[in-house]
Amino acid sequence: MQPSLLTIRDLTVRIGTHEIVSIDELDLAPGRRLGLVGESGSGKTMTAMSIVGLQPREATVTGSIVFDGRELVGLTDRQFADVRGADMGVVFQDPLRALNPTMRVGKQIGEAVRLTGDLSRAEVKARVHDLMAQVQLPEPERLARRYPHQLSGGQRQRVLIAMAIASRPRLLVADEPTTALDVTVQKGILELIDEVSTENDMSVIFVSHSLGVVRKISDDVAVLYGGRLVEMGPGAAIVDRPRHRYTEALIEANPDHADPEQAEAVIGQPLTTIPGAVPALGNFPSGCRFRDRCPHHLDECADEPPVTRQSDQHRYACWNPATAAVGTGGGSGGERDGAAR
Amino acid sequence: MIRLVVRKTAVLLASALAGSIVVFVLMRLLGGDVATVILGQGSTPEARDALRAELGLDRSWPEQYASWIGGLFRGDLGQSYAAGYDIFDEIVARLGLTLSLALISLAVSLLLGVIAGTYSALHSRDVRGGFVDVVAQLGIAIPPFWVGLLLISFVAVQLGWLPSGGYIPWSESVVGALRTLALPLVALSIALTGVFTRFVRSSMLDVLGEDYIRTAMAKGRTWRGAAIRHGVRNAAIPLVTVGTLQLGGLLAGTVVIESVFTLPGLGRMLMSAVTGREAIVVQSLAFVIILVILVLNFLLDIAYGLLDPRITDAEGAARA
Repeated sequence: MQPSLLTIRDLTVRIGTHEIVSIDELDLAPGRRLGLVGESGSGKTMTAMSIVGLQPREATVTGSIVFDGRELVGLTDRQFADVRGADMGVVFQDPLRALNPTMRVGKQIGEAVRLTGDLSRAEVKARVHDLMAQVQLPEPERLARRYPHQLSGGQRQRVLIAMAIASRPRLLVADEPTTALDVTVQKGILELIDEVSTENDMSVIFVSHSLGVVRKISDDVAVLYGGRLVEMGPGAAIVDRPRHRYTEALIEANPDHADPEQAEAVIGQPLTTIPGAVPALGNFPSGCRFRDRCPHHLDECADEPPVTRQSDQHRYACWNPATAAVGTGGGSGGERDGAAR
Repeated sequence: MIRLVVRKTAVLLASALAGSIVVFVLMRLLGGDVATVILGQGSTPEARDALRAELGLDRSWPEQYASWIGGLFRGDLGQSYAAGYDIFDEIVARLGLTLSLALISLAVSLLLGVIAGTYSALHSRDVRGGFVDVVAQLGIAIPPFWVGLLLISFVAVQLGWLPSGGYIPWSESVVGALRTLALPLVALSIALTGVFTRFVRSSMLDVLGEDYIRTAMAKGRTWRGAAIRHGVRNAAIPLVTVGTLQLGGLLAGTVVIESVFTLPGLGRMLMSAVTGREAIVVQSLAFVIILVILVLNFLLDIAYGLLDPRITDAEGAARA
């Protein structure tokens, strides 16, 4: 196995007395792409933000995050800022809100360039135009003088991507980069992230609520629920042969993970939903956090589920894992289905 | 931007016109006979009529209005019958002092308010932020005239560091002007600084929650660096509105402070004109004060456009 770029052990993120995230183990190899998937409130964004030190100021992070051989937990504000400036890039969810409304976009990209090292004005300008070309923004001279509100949503997200790759970072974190965009431009942005991360040989952490999107762009997928990592493995294995009952439910509720060729098979079929809703913070049940909503739960689920390693890469934490492939009716067999309610 | 300036200039001119009419009409409606005031109760009706004719008070309102405005433009408003000075020259001479007080205290309060408010917001979780907030509230609560009296009694009289009153014009001595204006400016600026500080603090706290602060951190800035680089300007935008609202109070405060420090400004001229029932002086002064507020308002509107590019664009879009 390759040495890790990112090694996470026993990471917890707390706000007040609430534990938002608790992840025992998560690794990312150089050049690999990891998808973080989960519903709203699953802690996926919080996990990603704590890796780059951008969690809310009231949150406390404990445990260990080793990035490129350096422990990040406990770094000062200044030290973490330097790590981000040199080796990390972040693309945010809402590009309009993520850009300063009163600063020209060229200047905002220039700021990212300047923070990567000592450059002259001319060098900064040249690099800004170069970055804008890389993210396929037309007429850099003219567009650089615009303010964020004068750009389209897709253009704004390209500006954010240009800023994120300004330092040619080793790690790019993309937090739902297409959620706030028109469907028509989503594909272009995904392709761009794919392209720039390949060209610059970056590892990517891609946060999304859509398994379909994540499978397209990621090598590995980590599924989160209630701030816990419930299943993790290669994308194809997770989507095609999920073991954790939550992953399984997520896939069944999400017909768009299917290939376009198979889409017709889904049309006309009733959509499956996951019963109930993600509980409010602090209201998760003991043991497996999904057991209240799980149609397959057992008595054991009240205890902390053990981590099963299916293979070197694929692991999950479930007392009553799925065995059958998705789409074959699921949820039958020796399980006590009826006991769910 | 040019559109904004043109539009705001039009608003300024229209408001000035409306203001002059309102002031003129109000003065007529107040009544009171100038001739009686000048000649005394015992004068003959004939003498009073003759004086009225001489002063032009027997003419119609539109005629009187036109001659007043004409006088303003020509720089000739006649003589004060009580004190004998040339009204227009006196206003011009005193305007410098009042404008100095108003503009300097506005600028100083804005600057201090932005600095203290930002500091307070960045330390909102510890005792330093709270301390600034308490001091700011105290500053708002203390009336300027009382601060003025305290300053006179301690700094001027007991310590003897600065003069307790009087004014040396800028043209004579810049240091002298600053020395004579220092205490009045402090008295005027304390409350205003308090208002601006509290406002910037809350505006900055809002801005600190904005996504673009996090974006700047992602580029490699510290939280504090991001807050200062990207926060201050955005937090200052709503301050322009608050500044505009404070203008009336600022001018009123100037009138009081001029009395406290015996400064020869428009405020004291207005007070004596009111007591002397000199209608034309009161009317002209009221209009000049309105003009000052309108011009300051205009400048703040322009500042708004400079600070927030979205405003300039919205102006353009509204016109298109």
